[in-house]
Amino acid sequence: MESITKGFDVAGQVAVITGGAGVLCAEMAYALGGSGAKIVLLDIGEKGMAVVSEELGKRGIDHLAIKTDVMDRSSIEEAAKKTIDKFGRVDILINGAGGNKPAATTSPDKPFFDLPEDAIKWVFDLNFMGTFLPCQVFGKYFAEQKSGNIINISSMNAFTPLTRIPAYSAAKAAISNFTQWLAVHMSHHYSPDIRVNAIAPGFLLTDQNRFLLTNEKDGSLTDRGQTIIDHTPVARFGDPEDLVSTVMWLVAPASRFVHGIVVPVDGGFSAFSGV
Amino acid sequence: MSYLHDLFNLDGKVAAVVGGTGALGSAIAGALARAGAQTAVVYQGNKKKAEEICDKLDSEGLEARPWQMDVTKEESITQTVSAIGSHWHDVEILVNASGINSSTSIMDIEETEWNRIMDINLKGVYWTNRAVARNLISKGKKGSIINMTSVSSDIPLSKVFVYGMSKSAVNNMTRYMSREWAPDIRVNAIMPGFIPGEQNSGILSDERKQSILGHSAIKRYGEPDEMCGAALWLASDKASSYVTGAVVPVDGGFTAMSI
Repeated sequence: MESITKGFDVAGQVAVITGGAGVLCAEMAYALGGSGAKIVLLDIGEKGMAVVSEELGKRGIDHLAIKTDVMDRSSIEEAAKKTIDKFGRVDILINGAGGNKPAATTSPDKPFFDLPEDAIKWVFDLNFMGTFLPCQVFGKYFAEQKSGNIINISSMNAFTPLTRIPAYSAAKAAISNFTQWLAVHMSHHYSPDIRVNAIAPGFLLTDQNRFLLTNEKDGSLTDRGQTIIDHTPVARFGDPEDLVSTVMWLVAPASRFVHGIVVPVDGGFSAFSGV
Repeated sequence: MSYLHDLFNLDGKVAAVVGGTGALGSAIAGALARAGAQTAVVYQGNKKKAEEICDKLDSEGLEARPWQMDVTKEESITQTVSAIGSHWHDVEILVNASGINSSTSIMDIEETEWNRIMDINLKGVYWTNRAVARNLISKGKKGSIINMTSVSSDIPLSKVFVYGMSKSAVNNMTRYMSREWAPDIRVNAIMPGFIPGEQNSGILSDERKQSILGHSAIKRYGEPDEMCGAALWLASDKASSYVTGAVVPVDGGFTAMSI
C-alpha cells in the first residue's frame, strides 16, 4: 500500500488556493494540509478566511491567509510575494474563486434583454479573469522553477449551458478552453512538468445554493432541486468530499500524464441528456 | 498518509482486469493488487505471461490469480465472473483493457476483420460489463467499472478506422450504463493517449511517431504506469464516489491541442 499512497504524496508542497474561504476550497485546504502540504489561502473575505485559518491552525497545518482580490493583478502579485517570502516556493495553484450574482441571472422579472452590462462583466471577470490573472502571476513562478500544477474550477454548464445564468456559463466554458490552451502553452514554452487541468463539478449542496435547491421548512427539494436530481444518474447532490478526492488525484504524481483535461465530478449529470 | 490510504485503499475488494496481460492491463492489475484488492488477471491466450504477472505480485505478498476467458463468448464471460466470485467473492471492480487494433484502410476493411474488432473491443466489453453488473445488482452490491477507450474515440486519427469507432461506441456505452445502473454501479472510461504496447506496435511507424509527438502537449509517449493513478481513483468508491459516466483522458494533453 505504501507504493500506492506514495503516488499521491503531496507532503512539503506549497498549495495556493483562491477562494479559500469558501466551503469547497476550505475542504481542499484541510485535505491537502492534512496530507502534509503547506497552504496559502487567498480570499477577498477576511472574516470567512479567518474561520478556515483557525481550523487549519487547530490541525497543526502550516499556512498563510492573505486577503486578495483575484480581479486585481497587483493584489495577486502582493499575495505571491508574501507566499514566496514565507515558503520560498509554490507548487500548486487551485483557482477556486468564482461565483454568480442575481443581477446576472434571468428570471420572470428580469428578461435576458434587460440584464445589466456591469453585472455580466462582473461575473465574467470574477470567474474568467479571476482564474486567468492568478495563472499569469503564479504561472510565472512555475515557468521559472520548471514545475507546477494548476487546477481550475470549471462547471457542468461549460459542456452544455444551464438555463438562467448566461455569464456564468460562458465564463466557465472559457475556463475549460483556457485550461487546454494553457496546458499546451506551458508544456511547449516552459516545461512539460507544469500541468494544467480543470474540474467540472456538478451540483453540490452548499450554504450558497441550499435556499435554491431545498425548502427551508422541511428540507424537501424545490422544483429546481428536483429537476437536477432527475437529471443526475446517481440521484443525489455531491458532497465537498467528492471534489476533494479528485483534487488529491490531480495534484499528485499519480496523474503525471494527465494534462489539459476537464474532469466532470457530477454524478453522471453530463453523461445523460435527461430524456 | 492515513487520509490518502483511506481514500485509495481497496482492501477487501475483488478486482478483475480483462486483458490483464497487456501493457496497460498488467500495470493496472499490479496497481489494484498493491492497493489491496484480490486481483484476477484475466487473459485470452497468454497463460505464461498471466502466471508471471501473478507470481510477481505473489512474491510481493499480494493476492493475484490468472483466469482464462474468451471475451467473444458470453458463456466464457459468465463462467469466469462466476468462478472468480466463488474463489474470492463477487467482482466489484472491473477493468476492461482487452482490445485489438488494425490499420486496414476504410476502403479495404472486410467483414471478417470488422467483426473481429467489434466483437472484442465492443461486444466483449458489453457482455463483460453486463455479467458483472447483473451479478452485483441481483445482490444489491456496489461496484466500479472502468472501460479503457482511446484518444481515437474522440476526434478521429488516421488509419485506425474500425478501432476508433469501436472505442467511440465504448464511450457512449459507458454513459448509457452509468445512467442505467446508477447509483450503485459506477461506470467510467479512461481514454489513454499514446502508449506503445501490443495493440499499436504494428502501426507506430517512425513517421507516425513523429506526427504524434508533434501534436502532443508534453511531447512524449505515456508509460503504462501512468494509467494507474486514474484507475485507482476511479476504482475507489471513496475517491470518486460522485464520478460516473465520465470519459477521462490520460493523454499528456493530446486532446487539449489542435495545431
